[in-house]
Amino acid sequence: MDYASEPRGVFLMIDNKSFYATVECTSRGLDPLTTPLVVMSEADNTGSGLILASSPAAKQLFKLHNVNRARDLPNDDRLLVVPPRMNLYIEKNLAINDIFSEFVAQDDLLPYSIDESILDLTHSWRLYGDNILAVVRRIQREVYQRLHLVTTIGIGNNPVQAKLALDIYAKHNPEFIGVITNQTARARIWAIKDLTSVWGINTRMAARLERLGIHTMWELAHADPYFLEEKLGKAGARLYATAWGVDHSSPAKSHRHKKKSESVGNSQVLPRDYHTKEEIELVISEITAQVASRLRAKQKQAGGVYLGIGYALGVVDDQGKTGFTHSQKLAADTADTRVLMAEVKALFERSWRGQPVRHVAVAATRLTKRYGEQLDLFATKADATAIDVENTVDAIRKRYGKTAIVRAASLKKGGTFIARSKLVGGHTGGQSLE
Amino acid sequence: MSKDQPQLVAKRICDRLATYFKQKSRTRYWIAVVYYSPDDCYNLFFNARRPRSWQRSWPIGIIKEADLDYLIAVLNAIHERYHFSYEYRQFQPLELSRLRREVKP
Repeated sequence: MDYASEPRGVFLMIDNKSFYATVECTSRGLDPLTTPLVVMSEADNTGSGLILASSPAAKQLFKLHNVNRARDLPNDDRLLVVPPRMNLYIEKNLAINDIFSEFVAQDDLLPYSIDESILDLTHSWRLYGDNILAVVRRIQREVYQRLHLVTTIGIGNNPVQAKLALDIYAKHNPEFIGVITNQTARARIWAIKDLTSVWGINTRMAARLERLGIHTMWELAHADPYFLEEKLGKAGARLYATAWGVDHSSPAKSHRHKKKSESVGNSQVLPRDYHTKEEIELVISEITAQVASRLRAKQKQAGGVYLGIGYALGVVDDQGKTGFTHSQKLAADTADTRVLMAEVKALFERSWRGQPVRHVAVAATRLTKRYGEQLDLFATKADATAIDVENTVDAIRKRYGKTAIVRAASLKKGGTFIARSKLVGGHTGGQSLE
Repeated sequence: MSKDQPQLVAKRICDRLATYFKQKSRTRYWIAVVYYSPDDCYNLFFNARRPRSWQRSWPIGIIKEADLDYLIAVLNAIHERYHFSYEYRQFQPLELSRLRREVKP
């Protein structure tokens, strides 16, 4: 492999160290490196509680990791447990990206998740320092001084090298900086023994690779790329490129080729097992109404619907399945809540055989632009009025909040809309404290 | 922007605090008051600690545009309803001595 023809950009992958936990520590005037703090969601559907984040000290002292449960926490009064404040984390993420945008053009910054961003410094780093490491340290310093947050940074000649440098090397570096370049890619990537520590390889993919006789990154790099593609599809080719540290993507390209979403969906894990048809259909209706509202907000209409049902833990049906999923093409494209609800409920009634339900997912698919409703010769004036009512409800909610107007059915037993309207990303957003 | 009366702010804080204050036995309750320099504000947290159990900490208030006189007035107004002890963090020594002197213990 000749790296001479490979792009030699300057890419940073920046991660906020234990983001939620660090924000909570610093807002309390505590040091995240010495305070064992965990952020625990106690929303109804998390059971006894789900750990969303642990401070570095909590990880070190109690061997905690994210997605631990409350039952995994030791009864130790050194441990500080706090509720999540998703709105605060979003606010801090925006503030961090504002700092990053002082170092790169808007197109060269890609917020990758709530605590990770990719920066293409190729064209701008010389404006801020004499060498790349000095600029990287300056970015870290700016974030720390202004927001009291610690950042971990991976540097590479392309995004995949930066991401691997972040995940594998930066976290163990005293300065929280890791570097992989075209010159060092082979040595640093092939040294990785644990495949699941690599971006894009989860435990299932690692098991598939192991079945192909691939146990390390060196073996992945020396496998036949055509064989990998044949066995793993596009992922095979991508993983082969990762093993050589090759990546031709960039934040600017991602902005240009931003894929438009082809469906709009919502799902939820219910706070308990739902047994009756009425209760399950109530939740399905609530989620469908939410999906329809999002469709209208995006000026889209759906040509199809999707329903996914997951049974309660340990329940299987006659075919040994733990749930079902079904899709249905609609007769005409629509964003009318009632039509979508009727179709989704019909899908449910067709396949449900009385199993207790714990997970519901609804999506609107085959999206098209919403120029207006499909005319129907047999539609009544009431049908046209219904759409106007939905648009009005959307406008009221946009102005006064989601719970300013709710369907009366949401007050019935089993309704989750009102409780969920207070959540952000499924967790407590945090009330206004002013 | 004019600030709300300290009594009104204290009432809101006490109302939020009331949802977390369960009066459990062998439990120490206190309020942490933090100067948060990135936003130049004061953060208030209600803390609870029981032996052989986790310590809990709930956010109960933010006082924007840090002003020590105003903070002292709010803390004294909270004291009229609840006599929790205050723990101060991230304050300058002079501010700290004023807080200790002027806020009712």
